[in-house]
Amino acid sequence: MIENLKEKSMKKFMTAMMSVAIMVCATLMLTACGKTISKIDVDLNDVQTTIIQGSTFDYSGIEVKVTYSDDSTETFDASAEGLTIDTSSINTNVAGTYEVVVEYADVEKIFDVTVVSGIELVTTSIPEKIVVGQTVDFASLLTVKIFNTATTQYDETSTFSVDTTNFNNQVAGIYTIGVTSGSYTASFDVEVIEGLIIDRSNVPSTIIIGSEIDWKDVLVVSVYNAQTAVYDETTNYNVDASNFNNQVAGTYTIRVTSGYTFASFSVTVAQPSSESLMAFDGDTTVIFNHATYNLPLGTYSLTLEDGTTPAPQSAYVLTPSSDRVAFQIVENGDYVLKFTKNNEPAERKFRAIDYLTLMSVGADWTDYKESVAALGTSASTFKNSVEQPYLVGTGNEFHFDLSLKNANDEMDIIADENVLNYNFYEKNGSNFDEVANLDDIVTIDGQDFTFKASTVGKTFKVIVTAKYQTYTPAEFIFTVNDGVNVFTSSELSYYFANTNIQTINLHRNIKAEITADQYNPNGSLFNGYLTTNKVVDPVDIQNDSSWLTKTRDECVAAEKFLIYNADGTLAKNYSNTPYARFSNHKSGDNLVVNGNYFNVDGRDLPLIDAKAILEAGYEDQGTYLRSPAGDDATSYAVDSQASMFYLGVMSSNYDQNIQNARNDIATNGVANATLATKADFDAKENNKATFNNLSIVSNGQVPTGDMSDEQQAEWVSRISGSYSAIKTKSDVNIENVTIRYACIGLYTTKLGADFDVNNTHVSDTWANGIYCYDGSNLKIRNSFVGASGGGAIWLEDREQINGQIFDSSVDFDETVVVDNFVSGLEPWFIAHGMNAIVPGAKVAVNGSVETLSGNTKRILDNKTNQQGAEFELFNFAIVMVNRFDVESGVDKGENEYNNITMTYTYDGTNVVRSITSMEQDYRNTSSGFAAVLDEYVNTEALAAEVTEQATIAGGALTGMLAMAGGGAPTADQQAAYQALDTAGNEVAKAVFTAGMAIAQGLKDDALNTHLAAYPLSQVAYNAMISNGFTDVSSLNATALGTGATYTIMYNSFNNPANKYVEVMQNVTGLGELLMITEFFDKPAA
Amino acid sequence: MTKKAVVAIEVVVCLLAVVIISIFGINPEAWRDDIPAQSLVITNQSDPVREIDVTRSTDTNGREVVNVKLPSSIREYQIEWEISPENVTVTQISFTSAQIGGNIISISDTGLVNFLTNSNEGATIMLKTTDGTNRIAQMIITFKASSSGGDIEL
Repeated sequence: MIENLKEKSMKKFMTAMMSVAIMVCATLMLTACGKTISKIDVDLNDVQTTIIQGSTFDYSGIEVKVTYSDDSTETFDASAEGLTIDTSSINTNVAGTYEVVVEYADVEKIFDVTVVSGIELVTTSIPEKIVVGQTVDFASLLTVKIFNTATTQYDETSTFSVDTTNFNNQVAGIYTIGVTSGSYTASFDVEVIEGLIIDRSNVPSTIIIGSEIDWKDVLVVSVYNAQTAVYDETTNYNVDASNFNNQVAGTYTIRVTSGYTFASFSVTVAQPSSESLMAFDGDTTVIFNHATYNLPLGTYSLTLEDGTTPAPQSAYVLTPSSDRVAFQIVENGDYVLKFTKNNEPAERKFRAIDYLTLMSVGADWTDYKESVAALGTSASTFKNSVEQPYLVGTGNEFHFDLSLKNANDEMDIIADENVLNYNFYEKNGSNFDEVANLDDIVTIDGQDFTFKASTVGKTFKVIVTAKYQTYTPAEFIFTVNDGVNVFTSSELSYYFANTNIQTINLHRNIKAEITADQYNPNGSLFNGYLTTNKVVDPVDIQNDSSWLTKTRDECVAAEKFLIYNADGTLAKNYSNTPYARFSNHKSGDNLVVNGNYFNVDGRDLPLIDAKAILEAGYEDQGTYLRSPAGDDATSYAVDSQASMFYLGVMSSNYDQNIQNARNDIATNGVANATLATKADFDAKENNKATFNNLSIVSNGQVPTGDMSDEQQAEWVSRISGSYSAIKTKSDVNIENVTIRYACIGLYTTKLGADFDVNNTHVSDTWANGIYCYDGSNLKIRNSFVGASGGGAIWLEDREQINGQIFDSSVDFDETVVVDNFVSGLEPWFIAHGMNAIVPGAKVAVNGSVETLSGNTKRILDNKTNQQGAEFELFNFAIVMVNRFDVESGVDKGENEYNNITMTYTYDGTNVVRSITSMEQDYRNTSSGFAAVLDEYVNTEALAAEVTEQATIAGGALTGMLAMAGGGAPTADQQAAYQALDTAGNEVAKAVFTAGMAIAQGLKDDALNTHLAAYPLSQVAYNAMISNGFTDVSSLNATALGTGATYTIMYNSFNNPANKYVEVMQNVTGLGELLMITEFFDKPAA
Repeated sequence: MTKKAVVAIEVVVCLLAVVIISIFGINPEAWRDDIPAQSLVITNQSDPVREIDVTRSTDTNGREVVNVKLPSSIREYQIEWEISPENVTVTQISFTSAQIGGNIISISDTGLVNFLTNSNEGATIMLKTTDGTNRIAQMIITFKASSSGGDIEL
């Protein structure tokens, strides 16, 4: 290595020495010539020292003048030997001034060469910064100059083009603009900057479906100020969110425009997930109360909506950890979260709501829809198959039946507009038009919707959707009325009692409930018999308000079971009815209960426990308990008949009106008693309740006739204490109501009551489907009355005097179907002491029917129970009982009895039966009286028909006899015969034949003799038989004295259209009992 | 025909009737001794193994609601119920649900609920006796929800 170092040092030394030697030699040579160069000058007159960029520097015209020390000069051109011109520094592509070094004999001269652009751009008019969206006309703002080599000046030109190909004023950036003029090109740069800056930090980048954003409330927008070169916050901007769809997941671009500039940002709409469970509403971030969110590390505080009141600690959780702050608001509401951002105080609005794990129409609405869908099918007991509108009232708040559940498993969710969207549409013809302004039709408070009076009569459709979640929309269609809306048993009780309320709309299947006040202290159901005089109504309470402060015991002891407030609301209910409505001072009360096809379920109501009441010593309540088997009995029948619905609304003059009618009848007789007419009475007593489209199920059970004594005793004690469905002391209209398992289905107890029943199904009742106690006028159509423990329809006339308002009556027709086969041994009969009567009575009645039908019909049907025992049942359709039994041996024609009548109407035929009908009508047997319900059930109608036919027959007979050889007929006889022949109907033929017998005074065997003697008569007779008439010649027509009547009546039995037979029977203990029951063919022996 | 023969024929007819009714399940219409339903109760219980939670609550009308919470993985669920009294005549009940119409679920006659989609949309189901007593029981089935809300940007 040392050797190498020595070698290198030696080489350097030798090189230096050689250089010195050369310099010495050169000096010596010049010195030897005798002169030296004192200076060099360059003549650049022929050289262009200012050249255009891109051209070549041409120094060929240079002249170099060398001045020597002796002042001699020598001039060289560029090609002279020893002359060097160094232009290497020149970059002709780049404008600038470059030095050119001229050297001769080690003497240098430097001159400058300037490279200039051939084109010069003056851009001072062009903005330094262009904002996004700003349009700039570069050509008009640009000054272009071209270098004039002659003058070495730039001359302005208008001949140029601007190339903005790369320029994009929509996107921030720096862009180069090219300019071309002739062969010259130049460019300049422009900067496009954001014209506005959007602070969208208030809006989460991902929000869940349904979020709604008030963009201008949540965005902070600043616009570039060219003068100050800063961004100034502005409100002068527009937001284009037209493509934003908060119902469809996706990422959406939101464009904000202010003047010509704009900016965009994106928001993603997504389904709720564990990654993003945030929604947005207006300017508020919506979070869910069950979920925990992550906040960046920092310091936070939460206030209420006012921004100042600290939120209660129980409302939220803020738990910092190493990398985040866990945040949860557990109490729903609006809050403000305060924090620090960029060293500045900041805040964010939050709302906590429920996260729905279920949203759909509720079970009750679904049940309603099922009920409507089943109309007209066997699955429905609603008789009216035409769907009626679902009715919603304006009288109070309405809640849509929604089944909601939140993530905390809570169901009592406030389903307000924070959680759900309600879209309203009004029916317009066959269409539904969206309601533009909800304020016009409804007031909304949370989930309470109060419809305005202007909507009465209008039909709406409402579609409810979960605001931030995807659930099947819930749809409701309804029509508005002026009623109140009822959702619970307590609401039904409250509004039903309130005589200021005229219309009630049910919106749920309601489980009937009673309060603790309605029980006795020993826990048994109170058994007070509620009547109008046991009510302290609103008028009463104005006269004596002390009832409001009396205890239950005091009120019950005073037999005041309903205590009203003066404002018409019910203050206390000590009766056993859940839904009572009473007043003794009311006119024009027309309550309508719209069931909306819902069910009022009384199945869980208690039964009146007779034994418990008696054992507890509630003697006053024992008044209405009865021992069918005498004082030693262990079973008691309850007579008070608690009812689920019980109303008695009458005018303050009701009693006087009744008395006036009585007096009028007593003075003027029924025919002339104007005060006792139904029309007069109705004008004075104009209260009428209506129940429609309603189902009622009570806590009773229909009994059977095959029970043991023990079972019967137990049933009588227990089930007779079940609830009736509707009991009324007012007029009532039952329309499309279905009633099951009641003690009594429909029950009136008022003199003169109009009791209209239509499209109604009543079945499985303990006692009767329908019970009219006192002078109620029942009109029933299109209805079904099914199984009951006693008569399907029971009318009890408790008034001795006659008259429309004093006689219970029933008006029915073939649209009424009764299916109530009883044996007479059911506990109800036992409870009424009828079990000893009916079994014998039904046999007697059956015997009457068999006899009067020529032994072809009967009312008893043999059926077998599950143990194989056979029972004789009859379809116990209607029974009318006159409570004024005529004592044995008393002349029924006595004044005390002779006005007692029972009235019914079938198919428009009014039938009036007096207490002596059994004896006076010709359709009787020794044990009773029976008439088929048809056009001839009315005795007068039948008699008129018989007379008419007999007249025809008589005339025809005469003619016939004449034609048969008895001589030439008279003109009248001939005409009569022709009339018969033209009529040609079977009735006439029958009458004709029978008439022959009458005319000849023939009966029994004499008829056959007559027929044999007169061949034409035999022909007519045979025709009669072949047309279904029964040979009645064997019957004794003593009552009417003519066989013709029997012929007609028996044809009624044989007419397939006829179904019911009316039977009058005297039943000990009940008196004359008028029963209507079904008859059928008697099986062949 | 002797009385014995008549009785014998009647016995045979009765036996035949019993056999026919037994086979075809036809209730004899002859005697109206139907025992109506008094109560209808859903009896499902929680199943910790399958992570099925069953709780009971009461709606605004005092009716019991049985709440079933399922993991998302379970898409089939059997409803269980009892009608009292034990000897009730008509044991058949009906199932109604808005989610049936929406094709969210199906329910078999035996009360087997099938969720037809992968969504976590729950269902509200009403059980009702069909003997006219209109006894009602309600079940609400929901799926468990995540408690993670995600990150909040500030």
